[in-house]
Amino acid sequence: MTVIYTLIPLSIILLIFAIWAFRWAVKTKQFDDLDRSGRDFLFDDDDELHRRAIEKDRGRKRDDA
Amino acid sequence: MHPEPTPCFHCGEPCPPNETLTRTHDRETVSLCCHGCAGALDWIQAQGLDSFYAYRDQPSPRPEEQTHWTLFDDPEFLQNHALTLGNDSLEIELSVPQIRCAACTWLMERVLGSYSGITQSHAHLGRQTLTLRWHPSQIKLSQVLTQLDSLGYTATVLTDETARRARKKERRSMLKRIGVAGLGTMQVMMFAAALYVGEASFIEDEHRSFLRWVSLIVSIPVMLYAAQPFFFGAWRDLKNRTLGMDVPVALALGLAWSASILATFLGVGEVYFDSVSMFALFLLTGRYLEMNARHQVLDAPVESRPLPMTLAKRRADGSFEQVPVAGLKPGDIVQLAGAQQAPVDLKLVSESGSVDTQALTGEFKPKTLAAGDEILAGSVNGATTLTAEVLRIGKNAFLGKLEHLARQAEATDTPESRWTEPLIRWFIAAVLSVSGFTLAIWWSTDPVKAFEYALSVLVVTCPCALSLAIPTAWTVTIRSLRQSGILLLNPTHLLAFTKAKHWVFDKTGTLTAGKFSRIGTRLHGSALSEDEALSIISGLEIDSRHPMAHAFSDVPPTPLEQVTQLPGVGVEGVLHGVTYRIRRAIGEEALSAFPEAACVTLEADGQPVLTVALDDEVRADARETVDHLKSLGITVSLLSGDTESRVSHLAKMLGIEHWQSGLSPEAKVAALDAIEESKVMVGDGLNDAPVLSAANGSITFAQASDLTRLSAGSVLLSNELKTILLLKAHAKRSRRVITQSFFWVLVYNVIAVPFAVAGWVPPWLAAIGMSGSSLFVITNALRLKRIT
Repeated sequence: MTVIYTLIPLSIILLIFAIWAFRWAVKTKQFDDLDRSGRDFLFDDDDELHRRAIEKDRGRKRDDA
Repeated sequence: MHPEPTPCFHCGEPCPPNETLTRTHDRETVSLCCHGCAGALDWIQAQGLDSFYAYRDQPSPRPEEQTHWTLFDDPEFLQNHALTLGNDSLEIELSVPQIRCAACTWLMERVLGSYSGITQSHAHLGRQTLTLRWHPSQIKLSQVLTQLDSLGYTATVLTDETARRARKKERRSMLKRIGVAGLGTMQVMMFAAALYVGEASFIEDEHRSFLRWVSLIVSIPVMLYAAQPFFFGAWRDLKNRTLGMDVPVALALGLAWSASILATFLGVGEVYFDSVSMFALFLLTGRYLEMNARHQVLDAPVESRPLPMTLAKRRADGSFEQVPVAGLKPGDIVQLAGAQQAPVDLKLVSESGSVDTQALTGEFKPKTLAAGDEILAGSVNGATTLTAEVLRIGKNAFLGKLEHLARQAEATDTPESRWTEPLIRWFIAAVLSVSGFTLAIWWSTDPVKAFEYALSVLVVTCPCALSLAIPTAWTVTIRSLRQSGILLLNPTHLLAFTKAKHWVFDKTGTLTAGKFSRIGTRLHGSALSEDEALSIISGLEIDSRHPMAHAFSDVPPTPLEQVTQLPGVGVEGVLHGVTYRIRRAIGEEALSAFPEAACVTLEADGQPVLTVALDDEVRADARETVDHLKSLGITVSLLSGDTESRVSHLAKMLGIEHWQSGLSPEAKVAALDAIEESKVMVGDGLNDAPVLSAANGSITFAQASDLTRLSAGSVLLSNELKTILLLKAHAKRSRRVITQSFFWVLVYNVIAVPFAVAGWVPPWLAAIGMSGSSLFVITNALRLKRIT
């Protein structure tokens, strides 16, 4: 049973890590808007159409100047 | 007769018939209701954000014309409302009530991301806010907000920035405590499981003592950090010489924990590290949910109208300029634009004008004013621009005074809110004296045993179960009420909802709908049918902000040309060469059956066509609600600021015997105080705020102003009066569950305590009794989750 003297301190180190991770998540606002987070992954970060539209827009502005 | 109108592709509102606004989206032709929506769609497509329409699960807000955005470039305004960050950038948090679904947040962030001066943007779905970081030297905020506005998202400044930030911090710190308590509890319970199994089979002393020490170490952060609020709360209560809910909690936690520490050091007795950690976790979770519900109401913007309280104009050498309201002083001359809300108390300088005071008094009919009349802060200007003098600001203004009255009424605490106090005091005293008694009688025999027995008395009696009974029942009730569309802000009001034998109602906006509806019509001649005439009125009123326009919103509108507002007269427009005009009914046109109603007439080229009588409509469920309350033996009464004839008419209609009319906010409080029994107040006007805080239980509607909602103990989100019956039913069930739990704790103690005093309860049995008791209380509370 001497194994518990290794494993339990190890689990406490993991616990400290888990608490640190949770605090980090709270601080970085991960828990601020639970209504939204559940759906965010459904949307594309990089929308091809949008990117092209912005580039076109920038190009136009450059032409104006 | 009318074909089913096509819903607008952007906002979902019905498109006017014969409307030709169409666009192509995703290779299909779609119809749009107005140029605002079409503009929004065009812009979204030009940005290549077409996928927004695929992502959204709700129709989008309809853009309306706004003009007030330049204020957001004012350096003084920004200094008051925005946070200055390093490297010349600013951060502002704005309320955007139109954020409805996750796709809205996606669209807004994409739109804002394409501006180069904006460094960061985050839209919050739960609280409907937008946080922006930008460089004022590179981009003007007004430009950004105008763009968002054209998409239908109207940003509003938040009421109290500092308080809001403090609340956010409070929520986060509570969440961190829950995290620590939760993770700690899991760990300690794991060790406890090993210890329990060890006790049942075989465990070496060395291992047992090791597991206890580890449990002790893990429970330190749970007790000293996570459970801190309970200890501080108890300390505060004791300093104020009261016994609040925190006292037994702190006592239970403190005693069980110190006893466990002692047992660990001495290597005798039993440890309860798992129980105390779990106890702290449950209580913290309850507090967090309660806090969240309260903050949700506090964080909501004052009004859905754009930019309340932030903008006015002051004369400098005869011309007008935009200034923040904070910079106004009494005596300044200001201009109040059409449909704008007065941010401070004003005195009219223009010859005449009309204001809508619904937010203040609940009265929905516009009030006509002459030069020299007062315009109270919170009133909304009619169609014409008014010039006025600033009369009172800040705390001296009408709003400030009402707030003061409400706070005053709140400060006088009702005895009901502390109904459990004597019970808790008695219980704590009994537990402590029985433990002392146990210690005393066993001391002479064996001091170690005496200590062990006294401890098992403390554990067996389990103040935990008692202190859990109320918070768990409240937590579950708050959650299930939230699902039924009721926000419970002050759980102590639950008692009043079950016990009160007297329910008091306000009139306008509470028993009535608080808006114009058609109550009668009269056709002149036979040129047009009634439906046709109503459809023309609807077409004329469609873009009007006038409160009367609402009465026709259910009629499919006929589009007219050259629609013009005639200030002080009405509206006119042209259809097939005929000029139609809406004006006030004159002489015999008025409907004699409704003497109190406002009558308007539609005329075609000067000939009257149709007269419509408009009045405030009684809520469809008012009679049912009043009857139900009366069938329960409750006295229902009506307190109103309205005229006697109107109040008596309504009272007769709903069968309410007790009523008073023409009451000022102060008189309402006095009238309520005159009722000696416990009473519940239901109201919605700003003038009801003081009387709501004075009642034992109070209910208001979500549309009510900020102050009113904060003064009430609960808010009905559904705008249906009969929801109060649901609230009453929930309150009754929650009270029953609390009583059951108390009864259980009592019975259990009466049985267990004599055994514990006699020393016949081994520590493991005491622990089972303690956890069992708590579990019973929690599961009992969970039964409240089922919605009837």
